[in-house]
Amino acid sequence: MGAGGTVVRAEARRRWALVLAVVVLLGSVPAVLAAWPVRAARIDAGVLRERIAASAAQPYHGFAQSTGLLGLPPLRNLEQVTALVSRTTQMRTWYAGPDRGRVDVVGGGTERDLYRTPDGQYVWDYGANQLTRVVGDQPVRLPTAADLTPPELARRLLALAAGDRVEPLAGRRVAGVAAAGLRIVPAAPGTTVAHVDVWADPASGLPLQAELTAKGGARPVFVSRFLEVTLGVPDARVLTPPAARPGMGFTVTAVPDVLGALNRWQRSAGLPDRLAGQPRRDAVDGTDAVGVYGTGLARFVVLGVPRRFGAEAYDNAEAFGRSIEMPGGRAALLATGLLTVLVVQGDRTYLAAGLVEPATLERAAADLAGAAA
Amino acid sequence: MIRVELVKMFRRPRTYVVAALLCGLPLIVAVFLATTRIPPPPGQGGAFLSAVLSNGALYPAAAMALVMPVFLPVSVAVLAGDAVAGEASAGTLRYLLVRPVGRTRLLVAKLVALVAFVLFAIVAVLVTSYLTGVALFGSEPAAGVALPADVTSMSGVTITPAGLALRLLGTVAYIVVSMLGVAAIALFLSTVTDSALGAAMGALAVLVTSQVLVTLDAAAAVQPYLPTRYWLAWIDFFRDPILWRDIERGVGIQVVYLLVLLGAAWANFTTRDVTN
Repeated sequence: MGAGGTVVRAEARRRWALVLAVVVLLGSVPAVLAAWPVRAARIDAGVLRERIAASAAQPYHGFAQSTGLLGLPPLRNLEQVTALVSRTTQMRTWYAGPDRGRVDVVGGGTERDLYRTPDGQYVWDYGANQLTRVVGDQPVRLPTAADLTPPELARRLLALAAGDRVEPLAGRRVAGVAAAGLRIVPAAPGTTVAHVDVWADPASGLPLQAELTAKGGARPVFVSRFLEVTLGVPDARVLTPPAARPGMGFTVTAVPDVLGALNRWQRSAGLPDRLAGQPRRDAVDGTDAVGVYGTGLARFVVLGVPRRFGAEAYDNAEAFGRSIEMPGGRAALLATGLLTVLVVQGDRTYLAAGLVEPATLERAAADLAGAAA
Repeated sequence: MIRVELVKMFRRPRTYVVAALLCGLPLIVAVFLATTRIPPPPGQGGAFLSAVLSNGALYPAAAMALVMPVFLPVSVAVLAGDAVAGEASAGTLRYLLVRPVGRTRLLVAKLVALVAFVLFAIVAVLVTSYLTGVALFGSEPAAGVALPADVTSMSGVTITPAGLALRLLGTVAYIVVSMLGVAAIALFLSTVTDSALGAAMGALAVLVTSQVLVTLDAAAAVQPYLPTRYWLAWIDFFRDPILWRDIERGVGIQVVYLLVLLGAAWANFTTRDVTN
């Protein structure tokens, strides 16, 4: 019996060793792939930056993911925006050119698609069973997921940080592409951004990953990266918006979001020419309800809102942030480490947001309280 | 051996009771939806539930979304947990193995029978939910407008009836593969213990843990390797173009679980002392 038991035990050991070997082999595949050295083409950081800036004509299609750790609470009428910076967003994207593309935000059982075509934008929302055609230019609008794809986000950040110092970064494999990296270190005082890291395809300059790291933080608080990407013109059929038909809601609008509506409704918000020592610099024409102040990544946006809407925003900001005492009005500040949001209430209400330190917006709050009164 | 196991499974009343229970859940939901006409808010509730109100032909997909996260895996775990442990506790395993039957062959036969059960159950749910959907939603014209024959995909473009049939076939295949992982976990535990209930509970504990971690952002690093991470990826069959990314990963991870746990079941069972 003893001898028989030994044979069985030896056989059992042999079989378990085989299973263990399979487990080790399968388990090591992701680790080996992650540790495989990357040989990205050597490219000067300045040259890479120029290629990134000139990459808007490069067509591509792929699957991207953005992850925000800002922890911004849902603000009324702005839930979709706060979700973009506080959660993981998965995007399928097809890009043929600046005026022809599609970005789908996909989730479990949900889908929201944005089509850019030469004759306008279309938004399809599966949950609401609603197709919306957006006509005309949108001088003022809220950020959408389409702004957070790695190419759009990286090009926008690089444009904002136009004069800032660039450092080379080690290459990294992103979506199977050996990407070259660069780091932008903002020079403007008062910004919460420690650095912006971008990895791009060295040949085409197409940005594949963008990361924002806040001052004092060890990890990036916002990351947008491709998980799959193919350089090349996407199929024209994919870029054609769905046709409206019975059983589906269909609207045509010139103001697809609350910000555009506010701009229409309130032609002048009486914004001061200087805030927190920074001159007003409006980036777009035809916008009076919105003002942009500051330089580089230390810019902040100020928006005049109706008092009723502002009261809800104020309550939210105060509940999740802190209130600031000031003569002639009240203000609440919500700081997330990277993004700072301010609400000032007097006779008028102002909403300010930017990648700026709370102290900057506190100074702006005092100026705005005077304007609001 | 496979034929014996299949015959045994389809002779047991419990197979039909479990399938009937699986078909019952979508039927109950359909009755409530059809009588109240209150769809779940966008992004909440089961997938496709708001869409079925305008076209009942999509109800099989909604039914899959209802049974997939809990009901179907529980059924598979219970049956797979019983596969070997049930024979052991009933005292029939010894007699089964006295016959010239290889233990590896017995394990494979048990797994094939489980796959056959999953297929049978899913097809039953699809057929009954299609009939339910068409009967309760499809025949009722929405505001006097004749309903289109085509179904709207999640991307807004239409899916033809042939396209819908193909996508439902893909869904069935994907769900069968997804259930292979559950079956492998429960089958392995079934070779470890003589208690069918213990094996089923063990498999369910693994699945519940996995489901909790899938929703936890802090566990993002391990999520791609969790058995339930890609369970609902079949929904991507109803996007246009079909999003293959998660479907491919889902199939891959289930094959890994199947290989490892079936291997462990084989290593354990073929050298185990069968005393009961």
